[in-house]
Amino acid sequence: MFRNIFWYELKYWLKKPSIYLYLIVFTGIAFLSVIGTAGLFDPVPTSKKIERLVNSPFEVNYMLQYFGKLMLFLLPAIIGATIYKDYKNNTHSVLYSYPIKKSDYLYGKFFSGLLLVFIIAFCAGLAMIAAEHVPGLHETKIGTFNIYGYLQALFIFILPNLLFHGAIVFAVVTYFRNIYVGFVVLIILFFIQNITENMFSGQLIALLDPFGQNAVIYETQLWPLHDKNNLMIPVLGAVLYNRLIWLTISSIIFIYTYKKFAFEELPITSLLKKKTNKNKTKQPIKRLLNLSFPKVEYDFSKKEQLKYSWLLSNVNFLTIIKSWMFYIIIAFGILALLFAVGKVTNNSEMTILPVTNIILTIPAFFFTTIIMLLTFIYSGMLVHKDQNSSMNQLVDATPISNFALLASKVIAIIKMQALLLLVMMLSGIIIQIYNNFYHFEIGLYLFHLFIVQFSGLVIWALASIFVHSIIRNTYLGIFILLLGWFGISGLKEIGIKTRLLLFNFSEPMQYSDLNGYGHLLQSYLLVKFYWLAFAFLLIIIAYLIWHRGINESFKERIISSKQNLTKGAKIALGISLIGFLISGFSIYSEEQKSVELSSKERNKAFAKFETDYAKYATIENQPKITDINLNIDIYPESNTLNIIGNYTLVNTSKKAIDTLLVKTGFDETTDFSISKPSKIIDEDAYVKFSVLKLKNSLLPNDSLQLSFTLKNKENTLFENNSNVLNNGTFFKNDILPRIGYFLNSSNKSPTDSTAKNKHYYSQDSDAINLKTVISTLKNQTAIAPGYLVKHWKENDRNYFEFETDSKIKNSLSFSSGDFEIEKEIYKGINLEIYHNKNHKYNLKSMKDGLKAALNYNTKYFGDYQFSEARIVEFPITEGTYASVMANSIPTSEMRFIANSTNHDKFDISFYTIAHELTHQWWGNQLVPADAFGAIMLSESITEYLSLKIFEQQFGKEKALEFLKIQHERYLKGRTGETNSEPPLYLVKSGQQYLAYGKGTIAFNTLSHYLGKEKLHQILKEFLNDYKFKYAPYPTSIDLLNTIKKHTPEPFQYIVKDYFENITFHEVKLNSVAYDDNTVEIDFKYLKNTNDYSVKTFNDFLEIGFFDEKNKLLKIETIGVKSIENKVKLKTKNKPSKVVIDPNFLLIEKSIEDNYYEFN
Amino acid sequence: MNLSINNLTKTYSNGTKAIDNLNLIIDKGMFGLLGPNGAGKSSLMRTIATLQSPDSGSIQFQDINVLKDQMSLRRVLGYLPQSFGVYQKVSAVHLLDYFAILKGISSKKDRALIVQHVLELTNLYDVRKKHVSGYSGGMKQRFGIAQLLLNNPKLIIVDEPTAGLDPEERNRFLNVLREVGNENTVIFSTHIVEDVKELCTDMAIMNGGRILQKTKPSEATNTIKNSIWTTAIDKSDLQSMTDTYQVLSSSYNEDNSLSIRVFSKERPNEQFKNAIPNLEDVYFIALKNY
Repeated sequence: MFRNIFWYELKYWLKKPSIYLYLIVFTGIAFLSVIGTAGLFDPVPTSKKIERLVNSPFEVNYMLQYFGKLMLFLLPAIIGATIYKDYKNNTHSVLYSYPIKKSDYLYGKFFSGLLLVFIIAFCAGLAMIAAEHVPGLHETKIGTFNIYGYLQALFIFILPNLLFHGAIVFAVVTYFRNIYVGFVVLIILFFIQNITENMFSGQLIALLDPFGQNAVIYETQLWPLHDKNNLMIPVLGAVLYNRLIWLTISSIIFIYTYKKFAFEELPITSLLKKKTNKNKTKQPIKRLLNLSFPKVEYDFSKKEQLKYSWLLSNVNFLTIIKSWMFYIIIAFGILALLFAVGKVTNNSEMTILPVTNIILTIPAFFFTTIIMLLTFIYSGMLVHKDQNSSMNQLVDATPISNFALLASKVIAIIKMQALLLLVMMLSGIIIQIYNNFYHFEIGLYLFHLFIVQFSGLVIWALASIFVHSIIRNTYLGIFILLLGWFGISGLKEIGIKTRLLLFNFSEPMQYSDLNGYGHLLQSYLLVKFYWLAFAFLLIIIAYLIWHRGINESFKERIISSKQNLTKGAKIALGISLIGFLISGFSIYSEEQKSVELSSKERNKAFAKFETDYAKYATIENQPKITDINLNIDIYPESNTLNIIGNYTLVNTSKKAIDTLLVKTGFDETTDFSISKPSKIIDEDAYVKFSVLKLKNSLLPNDSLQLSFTLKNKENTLFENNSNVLNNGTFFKNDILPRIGYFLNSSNKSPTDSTAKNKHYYSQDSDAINLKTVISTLKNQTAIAPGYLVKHWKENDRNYFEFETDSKIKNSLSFSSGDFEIEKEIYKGINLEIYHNKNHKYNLKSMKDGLKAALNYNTKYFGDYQFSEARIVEFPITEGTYASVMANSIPTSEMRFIANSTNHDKFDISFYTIAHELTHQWWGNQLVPADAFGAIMLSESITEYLSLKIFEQQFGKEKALEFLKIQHERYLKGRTGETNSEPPLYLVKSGQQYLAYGKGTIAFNTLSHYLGKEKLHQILKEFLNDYKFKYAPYPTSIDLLNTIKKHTPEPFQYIVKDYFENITFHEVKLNSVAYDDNTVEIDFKYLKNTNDYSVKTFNDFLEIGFFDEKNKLLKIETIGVKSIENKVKLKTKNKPSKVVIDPNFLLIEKSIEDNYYEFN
Repeated sequence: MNLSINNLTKTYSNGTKAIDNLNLIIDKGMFGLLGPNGAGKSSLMRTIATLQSPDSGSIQFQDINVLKDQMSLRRVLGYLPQSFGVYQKVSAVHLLDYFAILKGISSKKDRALIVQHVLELTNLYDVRKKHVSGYSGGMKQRFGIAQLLLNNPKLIIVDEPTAGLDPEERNRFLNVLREVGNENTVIFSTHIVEDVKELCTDMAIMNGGRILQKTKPSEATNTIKNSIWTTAIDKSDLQSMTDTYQVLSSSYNEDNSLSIRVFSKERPNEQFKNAIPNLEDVYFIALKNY
C-alpha cells in the first residue's frame, strides 16, 4: 500500500506544472549565482591573484545553504500539500474509510513529497557543478573541481535540513489540517535562528541554529582565505551536534503527530476541546406567523460601497488577527526585536544606546521581512477565502460591488501591516524604557514606520493581492511573490540600475540625528510614489479580471473584464497611469542628469589613465605646499559648496622643477591657475589630472602660487555631489587640488631608501600654515583647522576665520552644523565638544578620554602641540569612525550614542577619544615615512597606548578585556585577508586587524617583559629623534632597531616573533597535580613561525594560580625550551585554578586548553 | 410576465450542452424545476443567478435585463446553491451580519434587526451563536435560506435544497420556503417529485438542457387521466414488458414481485388495472417521450 500511495503522489505531482516551475527557478538561481559570482559578467581582472574561490567546499556550502533556506518554502507547498489536498478536496472523508494502514498513508505522502524536494535540491547542486565548468569564468575565482564539497553540503546540511523541517511542516499541516500553518512554522524557524544569534554566543548559537549555518560559521571562524579555498568543512564537533539536536527535535514532533494522527473526519484540534454531551433534540416546528419584513434601508450607492469595503475589511482583518498563528508570529517578532536590540545595546563588545534611530534601523530589516511574508501569506488566504470555504457562490450572488470585495481585502492586509508596525513601535518604546532610556522620539517612530516603511509595504500589499488574484494556486502565488521579492536584488546584480525597473526597491535610508534622512528622503518618496502608482495599476487590473461565479473560460474573463471597465475604473486607471508616467518621467530625467559611468566603465577609464599617464609616475620631484589660504562658503540648504583657495608651492628639493602635476577633486569642478607662465601639455578630464609645463623651471627654494576656485558638481534628486549636508557637513581636503602623481601609493618597502623622503599622509607637503574663512547658514557653526580668530555675521550668514599658529600636517577637515558646544579648560588646554543637542550621553566619557590621554602622553612623551582639543560630531551616514585632523577630532555620531553607562562593557567613547588624541603624538608629531609598516608607528603604538591609558583609568581587569578583543580582532580579521598576511613591521594601510589587533598584542607583550617604563622610554627616544621633522621620515625598521638596541638578549625573541614574523603559539595543559605545597604541571608548548613549527626556542611563559573566587593568588614566569614541559611550582595554598598565560601575552588560536580547575 | 428566458444556450468547454436553446416564462409563485441529475437545472439556475454567463440568449426579470445588468438583479435575488460552505469558526449571527453588509445594509441597527428577523423566521435564533460550520445538514440549509432572505428578495432561486435532508428537516425547510414564496418568484429545482407536488403552483420538467414540459402540478395529472396502468409481474419479465410497453416505473412488492406502471391510452391487457395518475408519472412520461 505504501508503494501505491507513494507512486500515486509522485505521478500526481509530476503532472503539475508548478513542480517544474520550482525546479527551473532553483536550478536557474543556482546556475546564475555561480557564473555571476565567478565573474562571467565582470571585466577580466588584471591580476592573477587567487581570490575567494566560488567552488571551494566552503563557498559551495555557503551558497547551497542559502538556496536551502529558500527551498524551505517548498516544504509547505509540496510536502504539506501532499496531505493537505486530501483535506481540501474532502477526499479524506472517503479515503479514511478505506483499509489503509496509517503508516502507509503518512509515510507514502511524506516521502513522496520529500523525494520531490530532494530532487529539486539535487538539481540545484548539479546546476552549480555545471555552472563552474562554464567557459569564460575568471581563473582567479574558480579552483579545481571538488565533488566532495557538493556532496558534503547536500548530505550534511541541505538534505537533513529539508528532512528535519519537512517533517515538522508535514506534522503541523497534518495536525492542524491547515497549509498556512506550514508557512508559519518556517517563519518561526527563521525567528529561532535570529533569536539564538542575538541571544547566545559562540557554541550555543552553533548548536541551536535550526539550519546549521552557524555551526559552520563557528567551526570556520578563524579560517584565513587559504583554508576557505581549500579545506573541507569539519563535520565533527559543533556541526555534528547541531545535526543531532535538530534530528531529535524534528523526530519528536513527527512521532508525536504520528501517534496523534487518526483517520478521522474532523481535525485533531477538535479533540482538544471538551465534547459537549448535550443531546440535540429537535424543536417542534414553530408556526411562522410574522412574515412582514422589518423596514431596513438598502443602499447601493458608490459612497456606501466605500463604507462596505471598510466594514468587510474589518471582518477580514479579524479573521487574520483572531488566528493563534498570528499571535505566535507577533510573539516571536517581539522576542526577535528584543534580542536584536539587546545585542546592540548590551551584549556586543561595543554597545550603543537604544536611541530611536538605532531601534528603527537594527531590527527593521528583520521585522519588515516578517511583515512581508505575512502579507504574502495572508493576502493569498483572503483572496481565496470564499473559494476555499466554498462560500463563493453565496457571496458572488450578492449585490456587493467587485470594488468593495477587492478593496476589503486590500484594506485588511494594510491594517494588518499597520498593526504590526505599531507592535514594532511599542516594543521599541518598551525596550527603551527597559534600558532606562527615556528620550522617545515618537515623531520619528511614526514617520519612519508609517511613512517610510509603510509606503513600501503597501505597494507590496497591492502587488500581492494582484498576484494572488491572477494565480489560483495559493502556494504558487506565495512562491512567485517570494521569488519576485528576492529577485529584485538579483536584477541589480545583472546590471539593471534604473529605479524605473527595480520594483519597489530603495536602498535603505540611514537616519542621522544630525541630518535626518538627508537628501535621500525626497527621492525615496518619489520612487515610492512611482511604484505606488504602478501598484494601483496592478490592482485595477486585478479589479478588471475579478471574476464571480463559477470558473470561466479565458474568453469570458475578457468579456467580463470589459464589463468591469466602468467609468470609475477608467478614471482610476487614468489617474494612476498619469501618476505613474509623471513620476516615472521625473525619475528618468533626474537619472539622466547624472550620467554616471558604470563601475565597469569607470574602471576602464582609470585603467586607461594608468597606462596613458604612467610616464608621469616617475616625476617625483614636485614643489611642496607650504601655505594654504581658503575661502569656503557652505550652503547647507542647497547642499552646495564654493571654495576659493590659494597655495604657496615651494621647491624644497635641490633640483629645478619644470613639470607640475595637478590632481583636482573627482566630484568637483575646479578651475586653477598658477602664478608662473606655463601651459597644460596633457589632461585627463575624467580623472581630473593635468600636466603643466613651466616656461621657466622652478629653481630650488623658489616658489609659486596656485589659485583655484572650486564648486561641487550639480546635485540631482538622487545624488548629492557635494559633501555638504543639511546639518552636520563634514569634508576633508581630498577635494582640494593636490600636487604630484597621485597613484603612487605607498607600496615601498621600509628598506627602500627613497621611501624615507616621503610623508606618509601627504606627498605634496611636509607641513603647512593654514588660514581659512569659512561661512555657513546663520544657525550653524563652521569649523576649520587652527584657532578661531574672528567671527562675524554678514548677508544673514555666519562667518568664521581660523588660523594656525604653527605648521600642521596637510590633513584637513571642515565641518558645519547646528552644534551645542561643551567647553572646559583643563591644564591650560581648551577642551571643546561640538555635538548635536540631544547627544549628551557620552560627553563626560569623551572629556575623560581627552584628559586621560593628555595626562598620559604628556607624562611619557612630552607636550601636546596645540592649546585646544576639539571634538566635532559628524553624521553616522558619513562613517562610524573618528579621526584626528590638526586640533580637531572629527567623531562619528555613532560614538556619541555609545552606551558608556554599561559598566560591564568597555567605554567605547572614552577609548575612541583617548586613541585619537594619542595620535597627536603618534601620527602628527611623529610622521611615518611612506612605506609598508607605516601604520605600525601610528596605529599600533597608539592602540597599545590606548590599552595602557585604559588600564590606568579602569583597572587591569578591563584592560584584559580590551586585550582579548584585540586578540579576536587579529584572529578573525586575518580570515578576511585576501592577500597573504605580512609580518607586523610590513603592515599595509587597510590591514587594521594587524595594525590594531596584532600591534597591540605585540607592544603589550614586549612591554610586559621589558617593563612599561622602559618601553615608553624607548618610544620617547624614538619620538624625539623625529618629532616635527621633515624628511627623512622614520620607518618601522627604524623603530625596531631602536627597540632592539635597548632590549636585553633574552627578550629579543619577542621582537622577532611578534614584529618581524608571523607567529602562533599553542599551549596544551596535559595534567596538573598538587602535592605538599607544590603544583606539578605537565604541558605542551608549541610555536609556529611563518607556517613552520619551531623546535628550538628559549621563551618565557606565565603561569597563574587562582582561588575559587577567580582572584589571582600568584603568577610565576618560567622559561620554556622544549615542547614537552614538566614544572614544579611552590605555592602556599592549594589553588582552585591553574591558568597558563593568564595575561594573554601569547598569540593562541584556542585558549580552551590553557585551564585546569581542581574540583 | 415576470421572469422570461429566451433562446438561452450554454455549451461547456468539454462539449457538454448544458442549456440548449431554452425558452421559459415563470410567473410569481413557487415554480418547480424538475429533472434528473445532469439535466442542466443547476446551470440554468446559476445563469439566472448571474454566476455564469450563457453563450447566447437573454433573461429578463421584471424590468431587469439580467445578463446586462447583473448588479440590479443581485439586489433582488436570493440564491441558495446546491451545496455551499461557510467560513470556519464564525457564528450564524456574525456570518449573517457579514452577508447583510454584502447585501447592502449600511446601518448597523438595520442589520441587527433583519438578522434577528431571518433567524427567527428560519428557527435558528436559539443556535445563532454557534458556529455555522458545525451545523447539521438541515440547519445549514435553513441558514442558507436565512442569508438569502436578508435582502428581502423578489426572485428566489433554490437549487436542490432538500437533497440529503431527513423527512422532518425537509418538511421544516419546505414550510419556511412556502412562507416566503407566496409573494415572490421562487424557482425551486429538485429531482424529487414529492417536493414539487407539495409546494409548487407551476412546474417544468427539464432534461438535456431543454424544457420538456411546462405545466401546473394539478393540471398535469389531469391530462393523463385513464392512461396509467399498473400490474404485478415477475422480476424476470421486466425486460419483455419494457420492450412491449412504455414502462414508467417499477417497484418491488413485499413478495419480491415487481409492480410496474405503464403509460398507455388503452388498457394494455387484462392483467393491468387502472391507476390514479400522479406527478411522478407525468415526470417519467416527459422524460421518456423526449
